Amino acid sequence: MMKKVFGFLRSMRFGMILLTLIAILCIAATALGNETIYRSWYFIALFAMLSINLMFCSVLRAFSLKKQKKALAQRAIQAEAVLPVKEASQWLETHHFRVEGDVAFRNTSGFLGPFLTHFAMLLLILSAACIFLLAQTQDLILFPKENTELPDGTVLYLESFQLEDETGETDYCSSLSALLPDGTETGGETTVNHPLKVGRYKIYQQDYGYAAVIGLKTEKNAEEELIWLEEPAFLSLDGESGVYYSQIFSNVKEENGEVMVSRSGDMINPAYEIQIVDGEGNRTSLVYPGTVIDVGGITFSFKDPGVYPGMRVKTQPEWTLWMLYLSFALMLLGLYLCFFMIPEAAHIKPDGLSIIGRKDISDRIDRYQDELEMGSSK
Amino acid sequence: MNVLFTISLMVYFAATLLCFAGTAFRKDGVKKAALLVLLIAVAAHIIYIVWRGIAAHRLPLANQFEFATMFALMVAIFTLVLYYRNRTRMEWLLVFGTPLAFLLQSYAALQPKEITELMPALKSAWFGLHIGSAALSYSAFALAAAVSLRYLIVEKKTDEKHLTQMDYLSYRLISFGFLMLSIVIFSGCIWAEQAWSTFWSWDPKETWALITWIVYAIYLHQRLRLKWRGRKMALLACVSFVLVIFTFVGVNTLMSGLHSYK
Ligand code: HEM
Repeated sequence: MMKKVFGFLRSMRFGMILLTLIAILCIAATALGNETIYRSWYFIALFAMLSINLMFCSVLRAFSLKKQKKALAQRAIQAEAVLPVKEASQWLETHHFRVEGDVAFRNTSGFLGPFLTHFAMLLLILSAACIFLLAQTQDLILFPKENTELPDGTVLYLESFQLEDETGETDYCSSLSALLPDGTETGGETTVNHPLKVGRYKIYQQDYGYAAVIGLKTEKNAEEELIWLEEPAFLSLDGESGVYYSQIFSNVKEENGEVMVSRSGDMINPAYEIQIVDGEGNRTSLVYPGTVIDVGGITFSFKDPGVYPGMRVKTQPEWTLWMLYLSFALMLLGLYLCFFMIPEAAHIKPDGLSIIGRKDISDRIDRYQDELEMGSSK
Repeated sequence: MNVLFTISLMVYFAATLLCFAGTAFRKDGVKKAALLVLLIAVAAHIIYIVWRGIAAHRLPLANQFEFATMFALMVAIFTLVLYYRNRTRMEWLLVFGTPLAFLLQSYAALQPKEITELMPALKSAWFGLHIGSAALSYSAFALAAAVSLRYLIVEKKTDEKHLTQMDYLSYRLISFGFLMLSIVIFSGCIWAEQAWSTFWSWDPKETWALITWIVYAIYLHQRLRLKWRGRKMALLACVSFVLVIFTFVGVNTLMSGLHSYK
């Protein structure tokens, strides 16, 4: 009974059933637009079972490689001659066969193919699991000339952010400098496709948005201070009178005396919606960049909206990356060996050579025969 | 220069007609002409694609039109390469490969053809490898399906040796396509990690590439496990190709995600 269960668990049939179920769930998830399926216990359980299945079948394969080679040699010895070659050993040599005893082999590295492929698949699932468990990401917004602290104490400072490069091509690029917890200073640029490494973090250029930029002056502080607002905020000295900023409109149009506003899209004719709060009560109003107002002892000077980057900050142990890359490389190598290094065994008979492949290699034998015919007709 | 695209489309059509005529009337002269016309179509097609790459200052693989026309070109080139490698036995391949290239080129003709600027996420060293191997893999699967279709059509009237040869050819094409599809998926993962921070995000296009990959993995195993050959494998190769087409066309039109060209 145990033997039967174990036999089934390591069988290719079980592997194929698992693969089919995974494919069906993927089809269902995309058709229903339901992404929770990918995080469900049964979906993950299928991958876990696939790993067990792969482990037993690929580990066991490694032990049977010698046996496979022997079996191939045996079949070559038993097979009939298919190639009427006269100078057999010379023919074998020119066709890259290696003689071992009374059988010659070619492409024996191909025996490793399935083992490598399945081992790599196992490694891939394992790496994916490690990454899933260990990688942490966090999205944050940075404003130019402002500091942001990351969980481990690293301080990020955004020098500048631009949407286009000098030639006018779209190029979301942030210039960052950073102070690591150990006091090291570092920094650089991050653009789409080129994340920046800062200490344990990888910083990705993710998206961008527009914020209100407002200059503030008070009697005490005559130098204008610029602030960036991405969310509604009440700006006031005494908490009673001041300006309540609510939102940005990207485009304000006046048509037939009616004001039309849009919230998204490019900043064509932007304006801010604010409420002025003072002794006379609350008044909602629309102000354009360039407007200056005095309320509650502050001089508010509204500037053009500023563009800021949305960043994704990721930590992930380096070895998980290399493990994944290794699994990719091994799988490609394994597949190459499976498909392009099909082992062949040849045995010298009185009337020529027998040639046997791991699978049907009729095509190869046809080629050898054609070559032989062409050679003899010359 | 778009006129060169139209010319190649028309010449593919002419080559298709000549292939059919040559086979129907068993005229060697017509078959030779078909081959010559196909070569002309491919030459025009290559010049067009190279021109487009130069005009756009990038690899011409950035939208549905460019990918589709590259897909058509790869199918035509694959057909010619296999034909020349095995001239005596693969004459029939032209009759299946040429119409396939013509159909794909017609699909491309229906797509918007403007040269658009690359969005930043596409500006990457992985772009060429990822999309180039997708074109190779899809065309290998397409041709495998065409060979399998012929298998199913001529099964009753052809000798065993010839059938085995078609069966084997279709397996070889699928194994090559599978290797290429693996490269597509792996390079896509590495690229996604650089662009979006995660290797895999279950975006519909990614998921469908995985589904296709699984189905072809099952194809490869069924050959080994059940020693399936011939008819069943030919059917499976045809059905699997329907999934490739869905990954290629269906996902873009029916589902939205990171891979929609916007
Ligand atoms: C998950 C993805 C898998 C991939 C990508 C994969 C890939 C492959 C490839 C490429 C081959 C060689 C096929 C050929 O040469 O035509 C192969 C063979 C094989 N696979 Fe898998 N495989 C997978 C899963 C499995 C599973 C789950 C099992 C279950 C035990 C399995 C068992 C086998 C066996 C026994 C062979 C036969 C090797 C031989 O005799 O040559 N594979 N696999």
